[in-house]
Amino acid sequence: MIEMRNYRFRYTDRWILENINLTVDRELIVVTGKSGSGKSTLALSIAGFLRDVGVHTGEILYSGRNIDQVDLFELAQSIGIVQQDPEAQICTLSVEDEIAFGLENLCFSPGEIEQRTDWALSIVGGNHLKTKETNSLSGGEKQKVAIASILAMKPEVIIFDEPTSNLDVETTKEIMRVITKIKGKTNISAIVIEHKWKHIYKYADCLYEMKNGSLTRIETPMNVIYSGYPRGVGEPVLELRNVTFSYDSPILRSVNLVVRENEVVGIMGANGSGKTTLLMCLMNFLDYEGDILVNKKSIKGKKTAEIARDVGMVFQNPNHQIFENTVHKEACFAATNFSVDCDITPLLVDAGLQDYQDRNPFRLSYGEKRRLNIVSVLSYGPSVILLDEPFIGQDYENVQKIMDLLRGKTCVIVLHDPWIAKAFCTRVFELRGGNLHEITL
Amino acid sequence: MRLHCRLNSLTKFLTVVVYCVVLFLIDDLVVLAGLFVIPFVLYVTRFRVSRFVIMFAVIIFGINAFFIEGDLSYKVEYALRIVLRFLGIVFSGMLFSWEDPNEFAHALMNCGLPYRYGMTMVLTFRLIPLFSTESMTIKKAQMARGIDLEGVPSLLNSVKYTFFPWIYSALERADALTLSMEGRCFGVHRKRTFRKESVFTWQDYVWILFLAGAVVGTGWWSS
Repeated sequence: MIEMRNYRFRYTDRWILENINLTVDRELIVVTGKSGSGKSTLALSIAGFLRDVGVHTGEILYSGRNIDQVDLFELAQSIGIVQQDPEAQICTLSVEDEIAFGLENLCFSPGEIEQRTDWALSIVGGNHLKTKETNSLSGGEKQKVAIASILAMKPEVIIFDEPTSNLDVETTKEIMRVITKIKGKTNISAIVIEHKWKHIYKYADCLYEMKNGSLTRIETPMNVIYSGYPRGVGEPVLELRNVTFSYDSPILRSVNLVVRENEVVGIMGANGSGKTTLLMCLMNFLDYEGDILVNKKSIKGKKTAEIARDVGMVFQNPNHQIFENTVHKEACFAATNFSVDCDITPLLVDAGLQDYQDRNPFRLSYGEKRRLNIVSVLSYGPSVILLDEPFIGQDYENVQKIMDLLRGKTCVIVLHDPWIAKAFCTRVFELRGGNLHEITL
Repeated sequence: MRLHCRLNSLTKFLTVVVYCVVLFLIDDLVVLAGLFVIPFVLYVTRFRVSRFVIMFAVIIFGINAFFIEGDLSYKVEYALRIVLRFLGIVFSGMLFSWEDPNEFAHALMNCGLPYRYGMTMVLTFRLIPLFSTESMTIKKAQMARGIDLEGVPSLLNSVKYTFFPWIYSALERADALTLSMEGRCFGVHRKRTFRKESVFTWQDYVWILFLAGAVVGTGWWSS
């Protein structure tokens, strides 16, 4: 049993967690809340990772004992964390080794390890993965293995810190099913930190919302406010004509698409269906067959740096597109490369970044970095903006802020969330079998 | 594709080391050629020989034949010896690189290498492909902002514009990995168990004896 009593925590001056009171006893609880509201800090606190960091008051009790007095490794055995990015937490080369990792560290016998590996894999529905290499797994499979590797240690509590952020809708549902199965088949408590509460809250014993560091129990999930977007009717800005591309097997099969001025086109599809590949073709990063026209001119044979003037692209990981040492310089970076004069201040104001102009961009929060990426693309006014999964780990408010920045722009957005697609896209396509199929949500 | 052979990874590694030592102990061109043929045939029947290796061998041959003093047959013989040694080392090394790195690391840990170092090795093999994909993505991300990073002349720019994002990502990755490993009790005990022991069979011992014999024999013969 985990009990938090009047727990407060801060790294520096500002309290990140305020008077948290929470009891978890063989339950499944869901914690939702805005990005940066302190959800991950809560997870790390419960797991004991912040015992020697920052300042805390109040107490966290594990089986009646204050966790400050419990040996860290005893705590690690009892409280496991499944992180957001499955790729980042796998540390061995085979599935069996990965699941055995914790057990080997605890000096279990090979027989016991084998038995627990099979048990953990059966709970996550991954027995067929047992003999595979970790780098051959899909995102969802990796997350299942990560869950199984924690499960094998038979902890009392598993904290899932946004376990489905990087996954498509179907895989998200599958991971949520795994979590509910853990609750049904074991005595393990589950604390699920998640934006996508819709898939899980029905099975939860309690639903909490984290707001400015405080935790409140809520009965009904938050309402989502959004506004519709106008359907594009103008000139075609981007045209794909029979775009075909294959690595070892065909990824894109004769894809055709016309994106008109002011249109926001959403592209959905399972992980690995070729969505990012499609965007890579639009930037000439890949050698495709067929033709792509931007403003009615073919981009075939042009250098990426040249195409980028008309086609802006925002990559999946915001850190990958940062270079300068202040937010202001970073926002102007691309415009300077294209020798475009721009007044960056209004854009920074729109993005809520005006107070951080002299700060190092790497020190911004994830959501702020994401908006900075977008500002740096908006600064030089490309004809069309491509966004590769820009909403990963973003709460509704941040999504709204991003979409407000992009209002009136022509965009192609790769995304997983149907509700975002429904709220903001003029047309939505699913990439399936190498082709785009228009869907209604 | 891996070579299927029941010997322990460590025995295979020892074989490669002994093979390379023997290559340098032997001066007789015919024996050297005979020794070179073994890894060469094993390699070409499974993999494609890269053009780079052939070009490099030709250059080594050319340089040696050109700079060594003596008559033509001596020059050719000398250069050939060097090339055969070079190719012998390259092919045996490449054959070994197709071994399962995981098995090798586990074999080393089984033989007394502290597990922290052994697991670092495993982690390295896990991270290399991730880092290489990531640096490609970062390069593309910067190109999409109008920086020309295509071709050899922009190599320096490529390093300049991708270095900081790359370092930042690497540090983030290290953070997540630490959490994941410590969260699963890595380092809690001085020793740890392994789900599968890396075993030495009688074939390994026989083979190691043979290798020892080969080194001693060649040393004695060549002196």
